[in-house]
Amino acid sequence: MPEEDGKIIYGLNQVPPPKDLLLLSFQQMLLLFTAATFPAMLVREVGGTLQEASSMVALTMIAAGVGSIIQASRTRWIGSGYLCPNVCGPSYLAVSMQAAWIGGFPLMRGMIVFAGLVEMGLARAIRKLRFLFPPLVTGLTVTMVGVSVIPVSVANFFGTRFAGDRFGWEDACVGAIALAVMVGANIWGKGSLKMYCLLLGVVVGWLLALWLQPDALDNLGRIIHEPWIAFPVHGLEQLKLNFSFRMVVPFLIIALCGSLKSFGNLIAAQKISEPELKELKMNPISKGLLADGFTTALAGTMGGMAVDTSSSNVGLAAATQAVSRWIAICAGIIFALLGFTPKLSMAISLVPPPVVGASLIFAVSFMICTGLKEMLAEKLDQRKIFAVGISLILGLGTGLVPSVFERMPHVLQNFFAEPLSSTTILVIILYQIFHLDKTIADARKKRPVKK
Amino acid sequence: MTITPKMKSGAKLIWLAAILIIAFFGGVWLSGLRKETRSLQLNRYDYRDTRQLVTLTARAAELIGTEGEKAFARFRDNPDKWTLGGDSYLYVYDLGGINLFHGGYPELEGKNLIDFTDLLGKKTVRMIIDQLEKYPRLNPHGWIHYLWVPPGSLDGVWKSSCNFKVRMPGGQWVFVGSGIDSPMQEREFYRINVDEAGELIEEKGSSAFQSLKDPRGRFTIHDRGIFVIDRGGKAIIDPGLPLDPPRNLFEYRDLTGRRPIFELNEKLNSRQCAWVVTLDREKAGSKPVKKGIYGRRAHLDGEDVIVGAISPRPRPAWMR
Repeated sequence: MPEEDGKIIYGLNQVPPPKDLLLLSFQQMLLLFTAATFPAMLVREVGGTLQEASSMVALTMIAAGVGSIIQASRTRWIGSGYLCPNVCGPSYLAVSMQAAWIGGFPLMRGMIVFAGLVEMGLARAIRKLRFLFPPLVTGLTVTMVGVSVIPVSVANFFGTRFAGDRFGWEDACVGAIALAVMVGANIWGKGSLKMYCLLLGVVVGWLLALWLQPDALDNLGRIIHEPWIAFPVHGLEQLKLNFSFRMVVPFLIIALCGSLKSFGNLIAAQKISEPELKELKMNPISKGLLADGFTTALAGTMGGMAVDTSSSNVGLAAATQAVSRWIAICAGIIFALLGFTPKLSMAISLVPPPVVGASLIFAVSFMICTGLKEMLAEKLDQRKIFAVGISLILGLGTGLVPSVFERMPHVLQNFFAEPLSSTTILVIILYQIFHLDKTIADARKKRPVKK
Repeated sequence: MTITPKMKSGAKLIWLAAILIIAFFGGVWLSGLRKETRSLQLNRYDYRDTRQLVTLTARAAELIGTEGEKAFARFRDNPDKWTLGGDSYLYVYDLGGINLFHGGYPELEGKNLIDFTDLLGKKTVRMIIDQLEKYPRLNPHGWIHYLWVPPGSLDGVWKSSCNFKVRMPGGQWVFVGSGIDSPMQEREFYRINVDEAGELIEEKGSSAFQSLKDPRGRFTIHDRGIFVIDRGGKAIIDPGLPLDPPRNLFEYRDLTGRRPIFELNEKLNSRQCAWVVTLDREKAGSKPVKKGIYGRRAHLDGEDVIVGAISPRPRPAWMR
């Protein structure tokens, strides 16, 4: 969604000059790192070792890097050809943890491969289901994709690691100043200042954190002990896969949610990269979903955590108006290579949480507004108002009043798991129900009259 | 209203100036808080509440060390600086148990409270002195946990306090402490408890069990106690009910079917202490929650045993 007074700086197929390509890719890659801690968190939560954690982070980074390259390369069969890179998918975190609890990492990896295959199957089906996704539904989906990032963004912005913790002035200060620099450079900056606004904000925020927070300075010391180059697979045991029928339902649901999220991301990427399009082009989106599913399966096979398309990176492309897919390809290559260089990846992963939060808030603002713009472009009648309103109220309710949903029957709990999936599934169903009479009337009109 | 280029550049300048001013004053103000915190090893705690409490108490100890009794007046006159937003107050005692300063109950000042008890009957002042004298290595911040009635309240709540021993300019040793009511439960609290229990077992053998089992004793914190098992899994002190015959805790399976105590035993084959994670239900119908189990090896009458405790685990702020 380019802003009203701006135009795209680097178009979809344009190759930026080497310096800009490298810096823009590095900026995109910084955002990819915001999710790099999820695999480590998963391993820690299930009681894994430090070596398992670092290995899973590296393997997930490699898979996400390869996925970003595939996604941006528009081949005949796979890849949307948009700047829509992959991150270590936070949406998969809870179910992956559940699988790792029950059957260890082999089961988690096996189920991730299964989810990837399901996503690939859904990608094929989505071409035929275009009628389910009118602009109102896609707009709401894109908005909700942005909304789903809010908890991670806000928790990081205030540097609050754990629920119930005290407010920290230092963290809030670092987050606010980093965000102010990013936003200020984006609104009033021109040329390079505007294009590298996120990078500038990260640098200012990081320096401030080093000054204010003893932890940030101490953490930097950890880099010294990391090797420059390391191969992340330590044995064939790490590649073992298992399968459990008990985990099929949760992984089916999360694969569907993952697909919906990527669907939203790809729509947003399309709208940002090709604003001249009047209608949704389903072919690149379907190929994008196929790439997403393939990358998820690849991540599981390689021994990493599931990956997902990144909303914040799409938002960043909108903010900087540099939407060239070559940026995603270059960022993917750097991200994958960093998987083999623990020293550098550790250095980048030490970006202080408030700076990470500021980056996410900055980027996701664009994502949310892209969706809202799409929704509000339509004239709303009663059918649409209720379809959107009810879905939004019940969907957001899962996040705002989780205790109400906590003790629902298990089948319903899966359905009302989190705002993104609940809202999207509800709006798709309600939109069709409220338009059923119109759909039937349209079908009757189209039917040839028998003489 | 039309926005002219002049106005745009003015807005830029105002924006830049605002950022610089906020950064400068914010930095100057906040950098005052960072001094000495690095040597305190605050990274052993998960929560800011705990880190700030330790920092506050360490600052108070430093002031007492340089100014002696004059520091008490400063604590009293400037409560905003010497409490955590009004939540935690300081207290100072000499090592004989006489209260020298009390930010919460000033009427206690000057009294000898060496035998003063909490709602469970724990002699809190004795406990603090005991921790500071005997366990400076295992419990460097002098943590104790007790049931207390906060000023202005009728109801008792668990309180965790950290304490530092300090020598006043006149040569008198005192301790200064501060606590949090109903605190976030740090994993570190349980680590300290288990390590001290292990040392006590090695020192006193099975005669230490009475003190370890006592629900009103110092090893019961936040309603959780210590367990002891032999290396075959048989409970010597059960974390739940003391069953007869004692149950084998290696057979305990959590909600996912895992055997956490057995896993702990496996880990302890190659190291002295370890953490494992288990999934449990807090109350009927609620979602399962993760808990940590910390255990360490100890020698009891020539045999190897495992001493452990179950601790809550912090939940990431963004996680539902």
